[in-house]
Order: sequence, then C-alpha cells, then structure tokens
Amino acid sequence: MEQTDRIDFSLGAEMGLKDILSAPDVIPLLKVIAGAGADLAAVTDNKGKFLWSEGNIPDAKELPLQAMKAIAEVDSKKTILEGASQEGIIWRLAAIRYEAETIGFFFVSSSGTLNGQMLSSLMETAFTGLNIIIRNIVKRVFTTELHTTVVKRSYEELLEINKNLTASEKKYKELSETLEQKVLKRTEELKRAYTRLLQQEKMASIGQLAAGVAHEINNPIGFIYSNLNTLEKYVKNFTEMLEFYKRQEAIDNRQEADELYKKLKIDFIMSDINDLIKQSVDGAERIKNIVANLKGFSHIDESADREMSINAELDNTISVLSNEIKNRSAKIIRHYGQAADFFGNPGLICQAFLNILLNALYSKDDNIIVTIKTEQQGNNAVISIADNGKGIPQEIQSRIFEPFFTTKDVGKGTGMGLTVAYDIISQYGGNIEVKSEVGKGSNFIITLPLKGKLNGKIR
Amino acid sequence: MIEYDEIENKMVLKLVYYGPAMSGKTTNLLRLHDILNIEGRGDLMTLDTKDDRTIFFDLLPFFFTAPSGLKIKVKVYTVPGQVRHDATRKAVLTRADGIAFIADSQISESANNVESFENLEKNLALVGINIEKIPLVIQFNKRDLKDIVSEDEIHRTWEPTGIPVFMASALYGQGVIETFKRLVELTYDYIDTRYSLKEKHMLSKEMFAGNLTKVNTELAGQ
Ligand SMILES: Nc1nc2c(ncn2[C@@H]2O[C@H](COP(=O)(O)OP(=O)(O)OP(=O)(O)O)[C@@H](O)[C@H]2O)c(=O)[nH]1
Ligand SMILES: Nc1ncnc2c1ncn2[C@@H]1O[C@H](COP(=O)(O)OP(=O)(O)OP(=O)(O)O)[C@@H](O)[C@H]1O
Ligand SMILES: [Mg+2]
Ligand SMILES: [Mg+2]
Repeated sequence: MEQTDRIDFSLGAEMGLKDILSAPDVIPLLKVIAGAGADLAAVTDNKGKFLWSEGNIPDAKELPLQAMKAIAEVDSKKTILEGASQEGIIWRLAAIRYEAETIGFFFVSSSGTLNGQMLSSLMETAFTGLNIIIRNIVKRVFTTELHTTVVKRSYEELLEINKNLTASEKKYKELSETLEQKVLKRTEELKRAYTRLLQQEKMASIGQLAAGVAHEINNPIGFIYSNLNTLEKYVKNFTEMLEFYKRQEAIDNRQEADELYKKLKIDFIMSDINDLIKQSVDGAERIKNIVANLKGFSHIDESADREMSINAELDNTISVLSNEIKNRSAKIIRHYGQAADFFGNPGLICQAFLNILLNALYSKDDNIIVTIKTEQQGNNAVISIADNGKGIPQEIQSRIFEPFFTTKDVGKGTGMGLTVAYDIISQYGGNIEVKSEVGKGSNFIITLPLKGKLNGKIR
Repeated sequence: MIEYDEIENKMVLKLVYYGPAMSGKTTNLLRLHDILNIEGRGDLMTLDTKDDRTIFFDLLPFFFTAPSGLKIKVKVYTVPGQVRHDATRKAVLTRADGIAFIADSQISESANNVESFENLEKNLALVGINIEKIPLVIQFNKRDLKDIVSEDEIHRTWEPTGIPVFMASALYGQGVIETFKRLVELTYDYIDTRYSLKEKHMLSKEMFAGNLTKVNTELAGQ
C-alpha cells in the first residue's frame, strides 16, 4: 500500500495560560474582587509576571517579593498559600494548573480593608470561579480542536480518495484506450491470419481438385493420344489404298466412281486429313502438358526444394485444416520429437500430410482423435499419423494407394488422396506404411530419408 | 510520537486506552483518578459524554519533573469505543506513545473485541504507527461477571504474541493499576533509548513508574 501523507497535528497541544485565557474572560472576575475591597487581584504566568491585574496598585508588574519567593512552595501544593508582610499587607496565592502542570498563579492582596478571613473566602470563591472558567474554555478548545481535526482529516481523506480515484480513473482510461488500440491491432492481425488461412485452405482444396482432375484426365488423354497415333497410321493405309484404286483404269462404273470421288471431296480430305490428325496430336500433347502442370498446381507457391522443419510443416498443415478439424470436432494430439531438417518441397510434403490427415478426420463420425508423432530413426524422419477410426479391412489395404480407389459414395471421393501422397513421398525416396485394425483405427507411417538433397527432385 | 520541547525542557507522552464500546475504558481512568495520589495527577477531563458513552475522549493528565529538571507530562486518553466514532478514534490515536487495549471478558463480546483490535491495527497503520514496536498491553476487564472467557483460554490466545495480558475488574478497581503500571514501564523502555532518560535525566524506570502510580495514601489506609 502506498504511504499517504499523514495529517500532522497534535490533539491537545501544550497550552500556556495566555493560550487559554483572554482579557474578557479574566478582567471581569478581577474587577469584582477589587471592587470587593482587595488592593490587588492578579493572574500571573508561571514565573510570577502579571498577565492581568486590577486594583489600586497600577504599576505592579509582578508578584511582590515575598509572594514571588513562595511560588515554588505553592506549585507543589494544591492549597491556597496565605501570607502577610511587615507593612500589614495580607495576601493569598494559588497555583493555576492545567493538566496537572502549574501554568500560572492567582494572587489577591489587601492592605486593611479586608481581614484575613474575608480575604481567604474571597480568594477561594474567585479561584474556584477562575478554575471553572479555565475548565470550560479548555473543554471548548478540546471539542473544537477534535472537531476540526476530524473534519480536516475527513476532508483530507476525501481529497486523498478523490486524488486516488482521479489517478485510477486516468489509469483505466489510458488502459482502455491502449486496450482499444490493442484490440484493433489484434483484430487486424486475426483478420489477416484468417484471410491467409482461407487462402491456404482454398489453395489446398484447389490443389486437391487439380490433382484429382489431372489424374482423371491423364488416362483418357493417354488413350486419345495413342489412338490418334494409331489412327494416323490407319489413315495412311486408307490413303494409300484409295490412291491405288484411283489409279486403276479397269473398273466397272469408272464414271460413277469418279463422280462419287469428286462429290465426296476425297482429294481435299486426303490433303487435309494429315493436318487434322497432326493438329489433334498437338492438341492432345498440349492437354497432356496442362495435366502435368495441373499436378504441380497444389504447390504453386513453392516450387523449389529447401530446408524445412517437418514439425513446422505438420503444424502448417494442421492449421490449414483447422476448420475441418473444428467441423469434425476432432482432437489432435501432437507428440513431436526432434528431427533434422528435411530437404524438399514443403508444398508437396504438406500435400501428402494433408491427404493422410483428411482421411483420418473422416475415419469415423465422432470422437475422432488423431495422434501425430514425429521422430528421427537413424537417417530417416518417421512421421506417424494415427486415428481411432473404423480401420481399413485387410482385403482392401493393398488397394488404397491405387488411383481412384475409394470406398466413398459416388461423387464423394476421388480416391486420389493416398495416391498423390504416395507419389510425393516416393518421389523423395520415402514410403508410406499402413497399420490398421478394423474397429480400432489406422496408422499411416511415413518414412522420409533425411539425405533428401540427393533423393529429391534433383534427379 | 513523543513530543519533546528542548527550549521548554519538556516532554509530552500520550497513552491511549483503546477497545470496544462499553468495555470499561472510561471506568479504568475513573479508577486511576480515584486511586492515584493527587500530587502530580491532574483532574479527569471527561469530554461531553452522552448516556455514559464517550463521544469525544476522556483525558487524565500527569505531570512531574525529572531530577535533571526535565518536565514530563503524560496524558492518558480514552477513545470512544462505538464503531461510528472511528474518525475520533483515529484523531486520538495519532502520535500515541503507548496503548492499553481494554477487552470485555464476556463471551458475548468476543467478536467485538476482535473487531476492535482489528480496528486498532488498521488505524495504527493509518496514523503511521508500527504495532510491532509501540508499547501495548491488554486488559480483560469485567472479570467479576458471569459467562466470561476463561483465563486459560485468554492466556493461550495471547501468550504467543508476547503482549502482556491483565485480568481486571475496573468497576471494583482491580487490575487497573497493574495494567497502567506495565504500560508506563513499557513506554519508559520504549523512549529511554532515544531520550536517555536514565543517563541524561537521572530518571530510572522505577522513578518514572513510581511518579505515575503513586497510590493515594489516605485511600490505602482505609
Ligand atoms: N461488572 C462490571 N462492569 C463494568 C466493569 N468495568 C466497567 N463496567 C461497566 O461497563 C459499562 C461501560 O463502561 P465504560 O467505562 O463507560 O465503557 P467505555 O469503554 O468507556 O465505553 P465507550 O465510552 O462507549 O467506549 C459501565 O456501565 C461500567 O460500569 C467491570 O469490571 N465489571
Ligand atoms: N484413415 C483411414 N481410415 C479408414 N479408411 C481409410 C483411411 N485412409 C484411407 N482409407 C481408405 O482408403 C480409401 C482411399 O483413400 P483416398 O484418400 O485415396 O481416397 P478417398 O478418401 O476415398 O477420397 P478423396 O479423394 O476424397 O480423399 C478410402 O476411401 C478409405 O476406404
Ligand atoms: Mg482421402
Ligand atoms: Mg468511555
């Protein structure tokens, strides 16, 4: 806690007689005594010097010598001291106390008007009166002092509280302002990250689609291409045969044959057909190239091999799939070990991971848990992606890497996922092994040789 | 915080009787006033009480002079125990040199004792006094009543703290002087090192305590 400045005050500060009494409090009393026949009535300080006096001796500034000598004696007693001088003056002296301390004296003297008895009772009455006055004043002072102290303290406490409140308000205001900025900044970052993710996801699915389409087109275009080559040869034979026939004179209906030949524009066809086939072969060739390009489409951003951390790439893949993971309410457990960096095309490697992970995410309908382990075994990085799904029956385990092999409903799966994954991994000299038990789950174990530089695309 | 006036050669000490409402703080001072000798003791000043409850404070002053001529004034205050007078309590507590905590022995008052002691701790901290250092004694008052916390239990609770505990029945004057005497002695120890009361002022602890606890001989003779 902060040490607040204390209000420094002292309740009941030391007071002298002059702090307590003032002339209007004392003079009337002294006047009454003088009027009653005393020569002198005086209130002195604690040294015997007159503070206020009334009577017939206006020049007196302090107690007469005799009384002065007696003040120590009076001080120690609580009673009124009686005295008389040789000149026939009788006097009475009493100590005025405040908080047990003598702070002054009360003195009355008479030279004849009053006898000792009368002076004593006058003194007693007056002294009692004076003490009552002092007592009441002190009480009032105390009460006022305490009151002002409490009020002042409460006020200062209020000021302090107010100060603290203002300070904390300022602090919170600043905080809320920076908070707003922070939130804005984070929102911006999130937006960007989200867009990036969307992009990645889109790219991933486009890549998948592209790979699928490419495979699908690859086969038909393959036979179109080879059929065209065969067709070219057939056409050559047809042409040769037709030309042979045209050269023959001895044909029945020669005229009719010539007319038909003309009508069917065989001359033109024969001159055009080779171009036609040539163009078709060219076209098929182009399609083949496009398909080849499409296959590489999924890694459109990263076309070059480089050093990469397998763990980091797995994380990338998982984040690309985050939406899918959420939708499937699947749980991903990562047990990453240490593995040397792999040299290869991260886009391709991620594609392989992605396809295997996707299968795992669809390995059953709910409570999916996918456990990903990485470790280095000798010169290999070993990545295992295990699910707790329905498992793969023994009979089809040898077929799952086949292109277009799928157990999904028609139109739902391409059957290309594992094919592409296998292609990529084997491209880097690695392989994929499957361990699966129906009802328990499947484990896809990827082995990648770490001397990837030699086995990589460089070939 | 002790007040020391070098020019006047005067020292003013402030002792405070603290505690929950109705525990007997005012009664303690009343009895001290009755029992102690008039010499060096002032009158008990009771500031505006309402139905016997202290609203401001009570003050019993003492005054004496050390052999060196050092004037010493000891002002013993009570605070108002009622919860609502906390501001006054703080004001009275400011610059205190010693504290007697007057607890009410009645079982029914236990919670109030605790609350008041916590209030004392809080207010001491507020006025900048270290509770570990300031002379402090505790008095369990009203031992004459029934349904009171047992002495055993009180000792068990307070012994570990090292704070001296006294049993009292202030109404009958029992334990009042003992409590006050110990408070005065502790206060002497507390200030002696700083003000060399013994070395410079030839004022021993016995003299100091003796001056403040002179029993009225007339009363003692009765
Ligand atoms: N039986 C009994 N009653 C006591 C004793 N001491 C005080 N009382 C009574 O308790 C009541 C309160 O005593 P006070 O001395 O006025 O209490 P206080 O602590 O000054 O109370 P506040 O001024 O309100 O804080 C009075 O009626 C006292 O007579 C005691 O030892 N025994
Ligand atoms: N983790 C797995 N658990 C159970 N069966 C699997 C798993 N992985 C693959 N399979 C089986 O292997 C088949 C082929 O998988 P592949 O990824 O090649 O194609 P797909 O998942 O059917 O379709 P898609 O192209 O949409 O990925 C699947 O249809 C499925 O029967
Ligand atoms: Mg798949
Ligand atoms: Mg009281």
